[in-house]
Amino acid sequence: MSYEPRPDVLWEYSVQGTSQTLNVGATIYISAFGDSYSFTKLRDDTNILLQIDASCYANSVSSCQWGVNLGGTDLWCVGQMWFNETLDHRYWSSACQTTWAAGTYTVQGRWRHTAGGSAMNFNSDDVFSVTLEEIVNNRA
Amino acid sequence: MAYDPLPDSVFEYSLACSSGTLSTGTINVPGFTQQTFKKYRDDTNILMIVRGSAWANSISTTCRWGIALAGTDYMGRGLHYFNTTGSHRYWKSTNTITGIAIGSHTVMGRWQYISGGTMSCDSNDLFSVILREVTPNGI
Repeated sequence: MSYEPRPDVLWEYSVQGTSQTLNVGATIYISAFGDSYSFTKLRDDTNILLQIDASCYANSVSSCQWGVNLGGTDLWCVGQMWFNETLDHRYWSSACQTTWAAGTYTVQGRWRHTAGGSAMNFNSDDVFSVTLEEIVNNRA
Repeated sequence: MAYDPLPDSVFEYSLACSSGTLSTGTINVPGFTQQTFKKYRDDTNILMIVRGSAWANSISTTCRWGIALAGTDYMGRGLHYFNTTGSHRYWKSTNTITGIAIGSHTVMGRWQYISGGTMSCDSNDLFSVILREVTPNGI
């Protein structure tokens, strides 16, 4: 091998749910995630890759979106999670990337209602999992 | 820190889909705009992670999600199987792409019909691809 592989710069935190309801039109913090975690970005000239795996269930046809609050700024994964069925735990997974300055930032889980007329729910049978990774963007 | 971590080289592109249907063959993911991926070394592989969602008009309908890299299709392993009709369902898969030379390569999202009825996607669906240049480790 002509080079030396290095460890990734990667932050991960996952939680099983504490019961929580997302009302129509609301944006809330995911209580099970807590508020005592921080992510350190080492360089200015890199991007952040955010990946979220999550699940929840809806009271009727509705949609939501998952994200994180990073140092006071909300960062949302692309796309929304659409529920056609009610009271059925569904899993969802998405990603996004963005530029971000070097530094240490608090991390909290975020969840917002995007469409439909019913609340959504998260409980101990659900999961919210986040990875934040400092990357070199090789998308031209 | 006893070592100097280096960020990985990663391509990511995600979108809310445009309206489209799939009933045969392999098509470009509706709404996907052609992108470019830069590979830094000849002796590395590419880890592909694809995420997609859609709905089907009949049960036992299956598809795969993937990409065309420099014009060649590489699909995620495993099938996205629909047990219900008219219900948006999410799926995630991976594959390792080998033999790609150093340089810039075009990337297009691809959606492949396998069996069953017609599948559809719209702006309530997503497609996401991550391409990570990785050190070969057993493949």
